[in-house]
Amino acid sequence: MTEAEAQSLRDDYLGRLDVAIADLPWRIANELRSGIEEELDGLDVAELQSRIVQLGDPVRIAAAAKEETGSAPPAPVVVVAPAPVPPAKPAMVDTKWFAIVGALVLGIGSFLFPIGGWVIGVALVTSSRFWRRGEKAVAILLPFAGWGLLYAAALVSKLIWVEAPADGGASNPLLPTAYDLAHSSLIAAIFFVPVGAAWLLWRLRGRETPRR
Amino acid sequence: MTGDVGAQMRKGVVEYCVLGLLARGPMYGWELAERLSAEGLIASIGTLYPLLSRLRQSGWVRTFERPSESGPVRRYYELTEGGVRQLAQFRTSWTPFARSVAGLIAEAPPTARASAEGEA
Repeated sequence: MTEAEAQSLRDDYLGRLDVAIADLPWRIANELRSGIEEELDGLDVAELQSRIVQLGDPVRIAAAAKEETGSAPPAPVVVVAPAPVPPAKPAMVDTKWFAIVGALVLGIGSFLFPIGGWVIGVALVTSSRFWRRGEKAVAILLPFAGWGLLYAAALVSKLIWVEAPADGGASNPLLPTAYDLAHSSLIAAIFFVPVGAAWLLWRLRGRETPRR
Repeated sequence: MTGDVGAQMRKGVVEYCVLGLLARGPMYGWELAERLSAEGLIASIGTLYPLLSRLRQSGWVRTFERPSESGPVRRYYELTEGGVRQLAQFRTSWTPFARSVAGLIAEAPPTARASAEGEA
């Protein structure tokens, strides 16, 4: 067994292969032949005989290649990805600046436009989702609670410190009546409005998104 | 429907099996042929080269030459970026597809079979 014998085996097999693949498209025939040729290259006779058996009859190889050549090209896998959804722009009432404006209108507007400013401020604050309901209720009801406390305190003070005339005579007109106390405590209670608004602004710290 | 269901199934997946093998590293033709034959995916090396040619035309595989230990220069096949992407997409699609088919062709449980026979 010599190298010449191996070359003869190789040439014989490749010659039969060339005949068998003559009908194949040139590019495929060329790639097939080079692939098989490199497989046979460098083998000794024993290895060559074994490899030729493994490869099989050139006619069958050509037939398989011909059948495969007619197959459709591989279909690419198309994964339909959902279109990227642009981040939704938050509604105006869900922005932080809306909440800040609401708190400022509540706190300052009540002094500029005593009733209308407060109503608008309450509307803005209640529309915002940056605060919990409880927080909004505290800020809005604080002046009323303050009014009630001040009025109660004034009444108690009057009862304790201002004694009624012992003889049942007319009361001193210079002393405040219950109505006066209610009115005065209402005016004083207005100062609770900016306190509530300031508390709302303080609660906004660190909140960048509206609450669910 | 033709009788050779196995051949049709192999044709549908053999390209992606080649991509899967090449994803592990470059291989030469005979290596690929041996692996695919052992798995029953190709009957002959004659099937492999037209398939590799198509993969190259699709831009999923490219070749380069490297001397082998035994001497001759071999043509190696490796995945391109496009081939890597295709294989990834196929992997994503294959698992749910195989699960669906397995579910559909699974044997009906005995109770369902009995009721179907009763209705018949």
